[in-house]
Amino acid sequence: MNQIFESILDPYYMQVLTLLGIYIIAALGLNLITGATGMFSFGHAAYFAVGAYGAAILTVNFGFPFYIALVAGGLMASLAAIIIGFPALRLTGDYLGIVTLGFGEIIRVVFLNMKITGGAIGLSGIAKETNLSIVIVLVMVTVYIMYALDNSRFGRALVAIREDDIAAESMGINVMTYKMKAFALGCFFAGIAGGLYSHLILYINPSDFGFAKSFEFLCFVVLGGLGSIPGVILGTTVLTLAPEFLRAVADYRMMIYGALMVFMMIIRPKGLLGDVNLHRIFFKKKYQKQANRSTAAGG
Amino acid sequence: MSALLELQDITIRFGGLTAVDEVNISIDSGTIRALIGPNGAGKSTIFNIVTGIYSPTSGKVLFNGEDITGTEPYMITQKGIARTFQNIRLFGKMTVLENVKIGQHCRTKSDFLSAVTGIINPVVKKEEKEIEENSLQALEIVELADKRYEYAQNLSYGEQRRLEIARGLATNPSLLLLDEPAAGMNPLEKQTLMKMIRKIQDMNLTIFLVEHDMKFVMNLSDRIAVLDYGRKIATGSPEEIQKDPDVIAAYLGKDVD
Repeated sequence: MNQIFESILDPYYMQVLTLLGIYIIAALGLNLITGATGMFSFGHAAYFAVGAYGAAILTVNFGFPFYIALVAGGLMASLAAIIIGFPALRLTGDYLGIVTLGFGEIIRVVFLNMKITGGAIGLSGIAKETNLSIVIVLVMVTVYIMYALDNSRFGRALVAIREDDIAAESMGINVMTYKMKAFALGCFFAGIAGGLYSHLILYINPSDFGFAKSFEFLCFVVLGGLGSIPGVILGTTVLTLAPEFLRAVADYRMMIYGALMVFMMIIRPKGLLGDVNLHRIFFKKKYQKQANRSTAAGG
Repeated sequence: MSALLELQDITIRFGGLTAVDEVNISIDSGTIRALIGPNGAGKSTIFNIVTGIYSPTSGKVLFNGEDITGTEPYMITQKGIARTFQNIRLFGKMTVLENVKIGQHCRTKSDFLSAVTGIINPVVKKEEKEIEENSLQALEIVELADKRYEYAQNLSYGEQRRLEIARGLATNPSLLLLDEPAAGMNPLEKQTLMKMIRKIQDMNLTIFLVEHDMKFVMNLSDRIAVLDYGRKIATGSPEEIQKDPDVIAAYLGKDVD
């Protein structure tokens, strides 16, 4: 399958598209945390890093097969999320944002000072395992999981917590547990994406996973539309591809990128697809059609 | 008839302020009980104690004979107490149907792993179907079934209040607490609401409500408790309450001489 892509795309675009897929997986994970459950996380890159380092160390130092290392990296990211979540998720809103930012930096600094991660020199010698077809499959699996969650008892509970946590608790939802689950699950996807990333770039360094990266993930989600799956995919695509296509204007690239973000937020303050809920539109149409038919039959 | 809910000597202090002072209330199963009193008398505080949002400084809450004082709010809902809020707390960006489905949360089980297998997992499918049916039933009671795919935030004020009731009903409670259900409704809407509450009572539910509209309270309740400055000053049937000198004094003020 990957041979087909290689024959029609040049390596540069292959790389960009693979990276885009990886970012979509991470952004969808963040969307579960910030978009669906309403918990602001400014430290998503840290869990991305846990997955990247975790999977890379397992394959390089311990000779694990790639797929097992990938899942293990995801689980390590979840574990980190659970440990951090215990104290952090008791906070809400801006306070939670600041705490997640702090923990994110702590994780990065830990990687910077550990021996096994290579410290500031970084980790190299990672085998190239990630390719476009694997990423496409994993993006599809992630999108499926996100849609399934969205329309399930679990996903509804998360949205209820975002909308009003006191009412959610009064309706019998154990708010703290559900926040933890959402956080761990969202970070799992960050970890998977991280594992894919390290086996694509082949060299990782703690400075790749700083605050800027966390902020980038948050931009993908907010700009696409908090809580909207197609929105997050579109937002990630626009913001990942824009800098690449803007290479033509060289020096003005990041300026135009910034202006683009400002402009998009002005015309669509809730995100590109912030108000679009395909599921609801579909069911409403179907219900109205039924209602019309029954009144027509009755009249 | 046995007491479904019993408040025994409930006191709660916030710093130096005693919001509720040694209140005893006992509600019989299947009745409609109203709690009235001037603003700031501690009515909503009592609701928050019953539903576990506040823990009382002293005293006990018994539900079905079981001590539920200080239990987590979500556990109390599982035990069968549902509530609505004075300042409507709906899930605005969820549809009407989804709001009610949240009420079914504590009666169902599936979690994220089963959600992912939802397409092929018959257990999850069946549960989801039950949730949908039960939720629609609750919506029928408050006559909102035809608005099921609207966003909750787009409903009118009166409709939002009714949706809160439906959401509470969907938790299959035996006791329903209504915090000012008629607030902001016009007389016609109040009439409809009264009929709905009667209908809910007929479904074998006990209702405990706080309301300022006296006509509404007097018409609907079996018994009324009156609070003033955190103390219970009277209990009785609507007729007794209307004649009670303490109640009249609390509402209209005392004569000087």
